Amino acid sequence: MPTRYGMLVDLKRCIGCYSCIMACKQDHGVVAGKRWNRVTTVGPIGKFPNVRMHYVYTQCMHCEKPPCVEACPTGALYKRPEDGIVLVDESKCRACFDLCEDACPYKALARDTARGKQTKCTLCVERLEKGEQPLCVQTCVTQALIFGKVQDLPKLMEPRTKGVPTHRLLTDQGTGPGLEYNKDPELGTIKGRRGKVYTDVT
Amino acid sequence: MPEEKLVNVFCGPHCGAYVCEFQAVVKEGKVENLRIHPKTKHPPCAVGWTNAKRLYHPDRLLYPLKRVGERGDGKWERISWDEAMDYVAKGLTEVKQKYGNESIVLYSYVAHHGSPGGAADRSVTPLRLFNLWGGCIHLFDRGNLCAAAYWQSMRRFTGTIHLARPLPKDTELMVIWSSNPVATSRRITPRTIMESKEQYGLKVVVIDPQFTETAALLADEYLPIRPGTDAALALAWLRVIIAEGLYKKDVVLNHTNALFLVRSDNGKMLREKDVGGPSDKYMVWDAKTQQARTFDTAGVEPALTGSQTVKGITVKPVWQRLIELVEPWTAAKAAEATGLPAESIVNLAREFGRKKSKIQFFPIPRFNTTSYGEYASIASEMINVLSGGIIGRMVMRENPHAHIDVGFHATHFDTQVVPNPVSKKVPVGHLAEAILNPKRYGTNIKALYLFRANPVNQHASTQKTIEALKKLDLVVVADLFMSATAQYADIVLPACTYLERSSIREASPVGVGGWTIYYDLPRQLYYCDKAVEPLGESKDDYDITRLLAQKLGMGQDYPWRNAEEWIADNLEKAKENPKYPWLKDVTIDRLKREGIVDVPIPTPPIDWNMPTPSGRVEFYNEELIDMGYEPLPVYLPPRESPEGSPELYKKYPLQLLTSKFKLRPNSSYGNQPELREMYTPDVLMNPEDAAPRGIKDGDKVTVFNDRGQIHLKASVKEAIRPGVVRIYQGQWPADGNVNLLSSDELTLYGENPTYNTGLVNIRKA
Repeated sequence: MPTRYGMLVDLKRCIGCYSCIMACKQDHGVVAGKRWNRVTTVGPIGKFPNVRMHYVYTQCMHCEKPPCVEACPTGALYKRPEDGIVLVDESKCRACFDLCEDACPYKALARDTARGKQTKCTLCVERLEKGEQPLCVQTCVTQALIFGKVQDLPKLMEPRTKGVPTHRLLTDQGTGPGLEYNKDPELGTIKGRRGKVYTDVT
Repeated sequence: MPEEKLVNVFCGPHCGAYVCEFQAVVKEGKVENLRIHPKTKHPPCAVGWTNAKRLYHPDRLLYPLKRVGERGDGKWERISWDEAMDYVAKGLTEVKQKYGNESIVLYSYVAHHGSPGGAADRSVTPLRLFNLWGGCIHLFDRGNLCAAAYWQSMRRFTGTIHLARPLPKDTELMVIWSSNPVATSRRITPRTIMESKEQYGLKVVVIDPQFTETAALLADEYLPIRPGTDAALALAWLRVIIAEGLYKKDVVLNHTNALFLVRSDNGKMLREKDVGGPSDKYMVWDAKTQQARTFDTAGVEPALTGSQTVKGITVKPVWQRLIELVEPWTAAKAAEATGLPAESIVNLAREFGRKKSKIQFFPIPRFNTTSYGEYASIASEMINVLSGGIIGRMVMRENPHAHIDVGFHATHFDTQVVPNPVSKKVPVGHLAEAILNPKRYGTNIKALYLFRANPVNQHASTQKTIEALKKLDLVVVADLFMSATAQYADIVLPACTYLERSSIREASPVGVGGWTIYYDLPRQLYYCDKAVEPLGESKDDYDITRLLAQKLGMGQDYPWRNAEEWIADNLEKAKENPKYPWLKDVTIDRLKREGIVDVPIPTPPIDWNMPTPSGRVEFYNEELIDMGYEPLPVYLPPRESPEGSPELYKKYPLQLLTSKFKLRPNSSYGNQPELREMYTPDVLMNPEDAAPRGIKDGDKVTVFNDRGQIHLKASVKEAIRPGVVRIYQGQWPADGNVNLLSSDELTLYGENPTYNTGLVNIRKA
């Protein structure tokens, strides 16, 4: 069975400090104004002082059926058969940009217009090859991100989920996202490009 | 392929007693990337990750500038270092000859931690030079901008700020009062508390007018208190604890002065000599013999209550005075003052009193920057002493200044800093006041030498600070950027970033104030090696100071050719000192190679021998009477508040909070593009305040009062008390510098600016 990686996002722990975003941008040279990962503030929901608020971490879900790969006309976006990581083969990218970006419901693509290449989260393949964890996971100050092979994840997640079923984002899209959340992200809607609105999570 | 080397560096822009160690990836003389240092157990924050970009920030100052127009005109001419330092040395010498050293102010502190340069607590590098040269008024020797009300009140109350509290992991109930550690102490505090919640079921109560990140992520219960009414809450809390007997009587009797008698005629403690005895000893009322005895009389049974007459003097135990003080503070009265439900106040007091292990966490509380922060600080710590939230004091070693007591910093002082011949001191928050109103502190300030501090932006009342700077004969500023303050300089010197210089820091991996609760953490020395040469003509602090020394004819006092040599020499001197045996195996090479070096020093012991006049916790402080303040904590409405200034409140009905922001240590990094992508400067207001003003979320608004106005985006959210608005401090002028609205009133004897006391109004722009 080929390896597949997944991640648990502990929404009780994400404090919205953006260390993951800044580390990723710095390390991967993500262009100004673009991000490979996001932290969305949800709330405050309710009437003061009876309110709640939390932060939702998202990034490329390295989907089971990645719609960006399906949408890419040149085969630049591809899913590695050996571990399921979705990558861009820059030599094939023709900078049409909109097709893959419109297809991705998670806003995970970060175009580099100056270089004319699409870019995205690589799950830090170079680190994985050295046996390290992705940088966002390493730099998370509260250890809100738990990363591992899909078969190991349930065990790794247990102390955080305490057996409560996890949530995934936008399951109605049928993409099979690789990130799980230990409580309802209450994200509402994610606005895609050109006003395309995707519905809530399960 | 060009060779890649890894250099150990750190980042520590006033994050308190900690720095983040990184490894800089250097290729062909350029920092390409940063990596988490392998020895770091607590990863770095978002700000730290931008340091490589900050090094190459397009706005970096790369050569010295001389003002050609009027101050603040923004007209500059490029000059050489030689010309710049000639100008500075000549200007300083003229002021010294004409007015004396007392007319020169050195301001070097917060913008860049790590010696040499902006040191942990003092500016060792330039201070040594100025002191050798005849001295200066050194700011930060009096008052503070952060926590002086708390610190100074603790000096009266417990004699120390190094109070020992139960560790979070041993705690059942934590009250986070007036503090937002999730935003400001992110590396360790949130995780520690979260783990305690998950593993031990720790309960967290957050008290804050704003629904902060801490309230959102950590609170099991959230109490939205009205700003500046914290002392009222504390007094009501004390009333419950005392009335219901929820205090530790052994602590009261053995470790506080609550049993001592106070004279009703002059408010002083009754001493043995007041009643004809020989000594200065404090007296108690012995319940057994029904007479006043010295407190240390064998077999004495001190009465805590009642009123007696001793040799014609009416006296009462401190405890009795305390009971009378808190008596009016019923839950109903406190509810009216604080805006909290009476039931919540009583329940919290009971719960706190009854729980076996509890702490209140307010290392640098917001109430410390309100009008009467000293009283709130003492009242809230009194709750802790009474009910077990404080278990004694940490017995610190040599250096009362250092949060983390490795010894390097102390030695740094012992060996390198000569005494300041100038004894005159000015509260840092009143720099402008002292310049504009020389009589106030008996000063005649003419020259200001600033090492990366930004008072125009960060001192209360920006307008006043600018006016003051314009009055001076000489203003010199060293900074990375043309800051709000540099704009009013005569000479601007280009400084450099961490990555371009060598510095050292003793630290522990905790956030601001975290050292007050994590005293069991390892002590470490952090080293920042020079990764690349300074950009352009910029220079490191040490080099600038050495250059100035040479121009002042004192080159012989700076024989060390660079910062590294200076640090190495300091280290050798520290190692010679038998007080610091743990530095034995530390060498400069090891520091450079390892970046983080554990220093095997023991955790400070804990005892109740308080360094106060009585050796006890001084619930009642008679010295405060001589200083003109209340000897027991009281609640007074803030000077600017609905009750404190009803007329002003009619005009400006919104109370302003100027909170610290998670992506900007004060004003540093306020121009960093990567961080700026993550936020828009805003004013947070409740929909109840927005609706009648026709303001919607995202609207441009003007926030104003009699002092000034700023323009911001409105964030209309259910995340703050109605009647209260929040603007983050540290925004640069173009983003809306909140100190255009603040008053430079100081707190009582701590002399801290009252950043969190102020009234404003808001209109749609």
